[in-house]
Amino acid sequence: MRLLHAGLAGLVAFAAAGSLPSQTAVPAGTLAPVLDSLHQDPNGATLTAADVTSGARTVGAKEHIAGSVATWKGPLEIHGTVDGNAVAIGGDVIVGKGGRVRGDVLSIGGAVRLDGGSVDGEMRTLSAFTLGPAVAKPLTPAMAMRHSVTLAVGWYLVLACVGLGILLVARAPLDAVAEALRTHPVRALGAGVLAQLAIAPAFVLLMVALAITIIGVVVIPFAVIGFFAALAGALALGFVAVVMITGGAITGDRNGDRAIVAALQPLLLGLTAFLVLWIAGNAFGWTGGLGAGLRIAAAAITWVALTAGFGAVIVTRAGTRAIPVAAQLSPAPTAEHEWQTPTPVSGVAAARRPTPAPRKSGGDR
Amino acid sequence: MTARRFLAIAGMLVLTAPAAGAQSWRTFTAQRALGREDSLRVVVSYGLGKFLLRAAEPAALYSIDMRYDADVFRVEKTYDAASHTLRVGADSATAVRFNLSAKNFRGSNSHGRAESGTMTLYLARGVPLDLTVQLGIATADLDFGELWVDRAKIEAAMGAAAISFPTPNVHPMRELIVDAAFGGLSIDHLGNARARHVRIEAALGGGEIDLRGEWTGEMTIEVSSVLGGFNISAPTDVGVRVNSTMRLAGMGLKGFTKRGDAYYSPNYDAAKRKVIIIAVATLGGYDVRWVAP
Repeated sequence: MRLLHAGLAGLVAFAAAGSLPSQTAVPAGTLAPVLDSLHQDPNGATLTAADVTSGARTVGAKEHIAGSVATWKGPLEIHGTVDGNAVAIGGDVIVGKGGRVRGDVLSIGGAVRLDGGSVDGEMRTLSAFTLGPAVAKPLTPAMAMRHSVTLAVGWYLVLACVGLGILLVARAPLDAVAEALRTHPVRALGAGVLAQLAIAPAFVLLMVALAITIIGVVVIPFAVIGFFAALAGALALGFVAVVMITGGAITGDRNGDRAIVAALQPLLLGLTAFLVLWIAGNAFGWTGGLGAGLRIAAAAITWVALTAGFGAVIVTRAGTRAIPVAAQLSPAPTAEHEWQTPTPVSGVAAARRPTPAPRKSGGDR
Repeated sequence: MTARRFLAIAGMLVLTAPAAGAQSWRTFTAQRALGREDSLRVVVSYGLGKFLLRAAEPAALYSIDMRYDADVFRVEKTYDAASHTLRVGADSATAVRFNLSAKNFRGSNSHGRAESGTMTLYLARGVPLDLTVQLGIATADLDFGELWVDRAKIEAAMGAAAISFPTPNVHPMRELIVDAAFGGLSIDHLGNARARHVRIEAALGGGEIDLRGEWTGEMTIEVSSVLGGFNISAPTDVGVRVNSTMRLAGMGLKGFTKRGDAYYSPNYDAAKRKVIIIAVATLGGYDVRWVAP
């Protein structure tokens, strides 16, 4: 129903019937938009200007109207026969004894009463009527901000649920991904960028590979769903890991807590940090340059977080393995060389080459 | 700061989420007189608010009373006289809106008092009804008393749904399907539906199924639930057989005996009317209790 287009030009409530003399013509300029809107409305009615009279009108018992009949700011009482529709714009419609309407009966701002008559079509009432074509209502700064904030809060809640789910069912992969992000953020970011570039070619290759086999063609729909589900899962896992690290940095807990409930704290804090980032980005949208800059910054930080998280997921094979030692930028000294440490430092005894334990000969005393 | 405090903050964020813009509450009514219709197919699609279904006045084919926020919803209603099909509902005019605050779900009038959109649909008595109801985030109260429901499919995405059959259906119902996703479901006097086959699905909520009513012969109820269970009230004169598939779920079948794969009530073999319950539950369960007919 087009009455309800968001941001319509004007709302006309026809509260009371006017006291204009009955059966006078309505100025065409006033009527035209009303009739046009009524015609477009599926629950309206099609009328011509000639059908409409201003003020109250009664269709007498012996009257037969071949088309439709309508009143403007006045009640419409029908005791005769109307082949078309009977409409009162700003008034009641009463179908009295002996009255018959073959079409629909419609009252806008009034009531429809069947008082001994009959209606072949439908009887409808509308409490108010909207005029004019659909026009996009410009958003005020406050409305735009509210919209942005509600959107951000919505994402916050969605991601909180996703994060909680990951904490509950995929804690080990999440920890592995978070560890990779902590120890090798640059490598994770690089892997994320490369992985993003490879998404489209990988998808095309997968489809081609499936298409060239008879069995593969059958599974293409499932492969498409699976591909994007896996992609979404990887992005979610990676982003939640970034969020956990962000939250952990805020709370000072950089190692992560194994308890689920305790892990909610960094999750929600990290998400809140991103929420604040986006709210700040959108809050000043109406300012022009500053708002745009803040939004670009929010988008850039979020992209970096998503990319690094995605990269960490790829590098750790969805958190199933630790980051390869060979890839580490500065490998830690291994235990086998510890004995070569040259000089004791600040009073620590020098390491000795491991030697086999002396055999017990009983002569030590 | 404890995790509990964080959850409280998260809850506050939900409740204090900004409200929608100004609201324009309107009413819409439509009524059509009963003519020579020998059936009526009704498709209801109602997105948000409260939906009620009742029997219409004797002379009416259908009657609709709707109150809605014109800023958010648009009313859809068509009637095809040739196929006797009524399509009615109110769906969001602005597609997906992420207004999560309680105020937005309920709306508010100019005085700030919370209120909700409502739709009441009255349907003809004495005309076989083929009913499809699709509800979004809505509470539903469907009273099928005095109606002749030939087939009904009711889907409720989120919100409590109450279905009742206070009087016996004029003729046995061909099919009754109820799918209540979230929010709970109660079906009162299901026996009065006189349905041979009933399918009930629920997730997150479960509910109550009352089998009282006037039916004869055998009724099969397929019921499945996830995260929630059903309390099934069976009249004492009805023989009950239960075939169950429980996954991390249980069945409360006091006095029942197991024969083969099914559980039988003590009166099953002697009962003149019987109900076969095919129950599937994951994380929840069912409880069959006895009530006076």
